[in-house]
Amino acid sequence: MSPGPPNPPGLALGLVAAAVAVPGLLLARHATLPGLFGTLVVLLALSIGGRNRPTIAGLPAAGVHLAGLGISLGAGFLMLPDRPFGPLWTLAFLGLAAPRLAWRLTPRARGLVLLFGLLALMGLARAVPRFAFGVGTALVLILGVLAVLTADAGTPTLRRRGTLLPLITSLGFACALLTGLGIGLPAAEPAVVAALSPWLGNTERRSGFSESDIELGQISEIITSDTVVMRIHGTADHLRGQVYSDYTDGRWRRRTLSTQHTPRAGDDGLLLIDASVRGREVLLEAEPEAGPPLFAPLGTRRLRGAPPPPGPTAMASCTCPPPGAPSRAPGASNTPKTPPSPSCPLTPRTWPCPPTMPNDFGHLHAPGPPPTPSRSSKSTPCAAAS
Amino acid sequence: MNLRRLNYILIRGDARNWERWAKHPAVRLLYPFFAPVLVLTVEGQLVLTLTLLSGAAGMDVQFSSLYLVFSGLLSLLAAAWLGRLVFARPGALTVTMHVPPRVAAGEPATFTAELSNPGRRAAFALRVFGPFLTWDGAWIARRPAVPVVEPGGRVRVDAQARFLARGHHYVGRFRVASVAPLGLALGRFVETEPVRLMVVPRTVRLRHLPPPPLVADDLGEQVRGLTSGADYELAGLRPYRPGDRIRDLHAFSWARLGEPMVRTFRRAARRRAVVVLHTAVTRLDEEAFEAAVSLAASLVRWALEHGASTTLLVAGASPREVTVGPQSAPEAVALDVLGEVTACAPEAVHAATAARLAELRAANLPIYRVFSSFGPHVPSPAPGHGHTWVVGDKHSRASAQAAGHPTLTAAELALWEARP
Repeated sequence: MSPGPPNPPGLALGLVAAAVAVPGLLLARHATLPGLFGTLVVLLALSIGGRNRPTIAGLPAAGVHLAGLGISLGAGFLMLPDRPFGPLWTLAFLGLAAPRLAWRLTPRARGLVLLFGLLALMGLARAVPRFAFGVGTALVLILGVLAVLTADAGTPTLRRRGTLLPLITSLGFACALLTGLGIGLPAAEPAVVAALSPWLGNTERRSGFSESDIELGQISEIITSDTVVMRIHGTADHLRGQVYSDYTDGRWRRRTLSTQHTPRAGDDGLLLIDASVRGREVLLEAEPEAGPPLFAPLGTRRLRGAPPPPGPTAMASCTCPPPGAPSRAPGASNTPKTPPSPSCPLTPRTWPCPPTMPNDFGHLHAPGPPPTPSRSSKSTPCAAAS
Repeated sequence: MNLRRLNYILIRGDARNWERWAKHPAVRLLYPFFAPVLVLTVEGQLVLTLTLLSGAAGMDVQFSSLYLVFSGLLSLLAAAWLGRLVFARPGALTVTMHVPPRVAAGEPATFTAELSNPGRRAAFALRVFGPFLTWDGAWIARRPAVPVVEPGGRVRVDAQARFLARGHHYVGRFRVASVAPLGLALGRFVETEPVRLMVVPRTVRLRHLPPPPLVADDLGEQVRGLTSGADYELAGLRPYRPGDRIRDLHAFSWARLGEPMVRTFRRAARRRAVVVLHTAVTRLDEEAFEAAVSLAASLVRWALEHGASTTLLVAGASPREVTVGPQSAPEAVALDVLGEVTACAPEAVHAATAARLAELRAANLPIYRVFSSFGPHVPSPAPGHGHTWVVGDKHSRASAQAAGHPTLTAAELALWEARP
């Protein structure tokens, strides 16, 4: 019996460390300093001990984890003044996982460290772009599987003839399925919700804004409420939150994916968008009750971010072409050509607009935690309409 | 109260019950629905748990990317499920189990699985799974794993388990499956023949006891005719006397000394011992009863170590008698008898037991008696060679001490091992 040439020494440990480092690198994409800190902690732990790592178990091992948790949380509070939940969660689990790499990993400890790495990754679900998160997920899972396989004495080594092809095939299949699910689930979700709604007891007529499909006669009456859903600074005739462009069997359906072009939040975790309507800038503050969709005036062509005014709030503003201005041709560059308006009192940040943005704004959503209302702004009770 | 047994109160019987249930039509009907979970390894079950948790946390697929973790974990499971069908086929793999016929209670029993691959393709990442053990059994070693069995190759791996209860054990069928390629799901199982095992009582070394005495009837030089099957040894030579058998003449001595010489024989001097275990109890104390059986087994072993021909008599509802020794059955026979001993009520003791005990006493043999209970129902030990111990519950020990008989507890018996 020959399981084949042995795996390189330390391969399993390196794979575990790489799996744990992936969330750190993703975090660095969102918040550079904490992310680099987390990655460096992983690399530092990996470099301690060399091949003759001591063993540790029981209470001392738990102490190591807890010490790492405390240090990482402390560093997180120092480096992330606004203390966003997701990145802090990631830093916490990186701190739990990384110090254990300095000791010899038993199978149980290996599984625990990999679990911490996966949990650290989950903290970035709203903080990093979906594509990057998907790639990070695939990397963590593949590295985790390889780490477990290479450390298992009952599995032939990766260099054994006849073992690599099944492994690569299976992992490739898993990646393909992950890609399909990653794209397909958001696309299928409205249809699934619509199909299941009769069985979920969701048959009552409703009022207000919703991104799900609309059945004729479903919206029966306007429910009045004093709840503040949005604040508008400037003049805007209509605001658009979703576009329903497909009608079949008495049901309006939307065709756009809500997350295709999602403006990202700033380092403070708030989405700040500046805009103007017919040459005039409009500042929109979204209250928590408005939900994550971004409402924009008709004809919006540019989004700009701005730091929040005093007090916790989220704002959105759009720039619209003046009346009579030619609309952009499909496929034109999304990068805005004009600089931000100097009249805007806030420092802008600009995001590229999709070609269909002037006519279809429903796919723009504000990620991150829902903002809290600002007490200093004028409140306008309103129901957002499409 | 046996808490271990209470812990398994809903799991009746041994692996035979499971095998019977597995063949039930309802189970066969439902198996395809549960098979995706049942074929997962421990790692696969962990991934499944994480999949469910991340799925619950990532319900919001529009505004959070958390569902990608669910998708990734589900993809891994799907790849494992598909991979087990394509890559984890056992081929022509066969498995043969080598099992010890008996093992002492509490001692590790080693089960050796011999994996043979007469096929043309190597079998990768094989795991050997022992059957589910009920309250008295526990696997010691981790599931043995074999990285690869080459074509035409043969690999032996060991699995160890520990059993606490005496008696026949239907351990069940071992199963071998491949976890290739991802280690998350098991391929098609290869099952072995059912494995059976006899668990005998544990013994301790009774170094402090003097050897069993030689039986007087068997001592002394007695010239006897050679009888077929009898145990005689050469005692010496003496001059021929009329009446001696011609076949006992010793030609070489006659030639050297010049007169006819004959060989004399004597029956071999042997040590004899009788071990009697009284299984009648008024109040069953499982620990004490097991200690009594263990002491009886230890006495048999001790007598055999001193070369004594030992008769074991189990005095109970179904009396059993067996003689083991140098010219008799091996020790294992006595251990097997003791492995099946159960306690009985005093009134259930077979009537023939008392008569047989009287015969043994009349033969002037040293008798070592072990009582698992003491009270009015217990016949008083007759004077003579031998010894008596009472290894019973607290009340029995108190009664025995009042009657002047030595008592013993399970803990004290275990300490005898360390006595010089």
